[in-house]
Amino acid sequence: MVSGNISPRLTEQEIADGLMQSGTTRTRAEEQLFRQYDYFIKEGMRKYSLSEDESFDAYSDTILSAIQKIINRSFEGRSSLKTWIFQIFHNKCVDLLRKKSTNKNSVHHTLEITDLLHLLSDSARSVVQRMMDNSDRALLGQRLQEIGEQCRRLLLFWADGYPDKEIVVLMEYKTADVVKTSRLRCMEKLRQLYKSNT
Amino acid sequence: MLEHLGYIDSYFNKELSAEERRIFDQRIEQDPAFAEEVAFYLNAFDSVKAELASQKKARFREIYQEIRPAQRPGLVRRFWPYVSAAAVTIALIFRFIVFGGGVTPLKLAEEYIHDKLDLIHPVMGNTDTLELGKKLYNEGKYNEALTLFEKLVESNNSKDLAIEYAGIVSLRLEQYDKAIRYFTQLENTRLKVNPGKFYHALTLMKRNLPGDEVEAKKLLEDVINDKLARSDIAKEWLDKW
Repeated sequence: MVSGNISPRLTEQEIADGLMQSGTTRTRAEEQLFRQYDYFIKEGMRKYSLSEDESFDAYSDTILSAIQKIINRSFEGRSSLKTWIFQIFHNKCVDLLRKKSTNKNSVHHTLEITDLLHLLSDSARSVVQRMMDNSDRALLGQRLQEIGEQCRRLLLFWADGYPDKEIVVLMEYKTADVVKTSRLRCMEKLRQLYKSNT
Repeated sequence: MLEHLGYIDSYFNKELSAEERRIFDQRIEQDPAFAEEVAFYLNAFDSVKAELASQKKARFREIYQEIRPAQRPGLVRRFWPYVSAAAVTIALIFRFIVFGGGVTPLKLAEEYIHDKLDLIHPVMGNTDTLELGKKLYNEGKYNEALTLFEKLVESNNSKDLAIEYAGIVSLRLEQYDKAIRYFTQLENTRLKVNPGKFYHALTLMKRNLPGDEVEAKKLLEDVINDKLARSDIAKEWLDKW
């Protein structure tokens, strides 16, 4: 650690606070959260008879889901962070076992319905949801790899919650407006690539 | 089409008024082409999120691979007597290598860089350029971090820390001449706690060219005599030299 600062083990509260930030602090808190309960992976292997890879996937998905919930303030702190995370992990493991038993486990990477969808009115949401269900997500994922490194990086920063004014510094744009225009151009580029194959 | 995307983006960024939002929702129900664009926007967002999640999982996997061998409680418990005996033996061998056997300046430098310069401590709550630079450094994105720190050096913002960090990143990138330039600049800066000379010596030890060892030794002696930052480590090193 530089400048003689020793990184202390963070408390649950510090991790939760760190996750509410958007820069280095958040990345460190995410990694710390992962490390904090990594022994759950062994629990997954022991209790649910999962392979190490399966248990790792369930635990990683648990942490990603917990991060999202903490950021969205869905974690109310009624139980300890550990108990709450273990509950999510337990559900993921059970879900995985169910999928395994019905032979649907080829890819258990579930895409959660985007929170943004819930901003729409009920009737508008059902129209959009229907259209989303009919789209080819795998193809869109492939096209994302083809839009160019600059665009990909820009969209990843955006999806990670970085505001445009921070992306200005990270990617050396001139202004936040330029970031927004570039981001929308990248989306348009992705749309054109996607449309050319559907 | 870009206009539509901008409009959709404003909606989901909650930049529209209640009335504008109502009109937006209504348009989705009445204009299938527009609804299709909204669906694409959300699908794209979710796809990028999925890609991000996959990158984060890859990072978690790296962390897990690092810590995995150390966490086998069942095995450790079962073989505890053997494990503790082996640990004592290893510690004795290590002690002999470090203190009894010859330890090279290069090895000392590499150990220090690995142990002490792997992370730059972030300041909780700050999101300025210096913090972004630290974040990139801590993620191993050294080139991007260096760009930011050099920008700060040029702009005179947080200059002393930016010089120090620019030197450290240059050292990690094995751009030794550049690192030495930054650390020399730091040495010549009036600071209460100045690690410039120590880092200069460290860089020479790591570069390990003919004459570097002798020069590094002189610098470390200066660090001790002038009671500069890291003089305790400098003393420890010279004792083992």
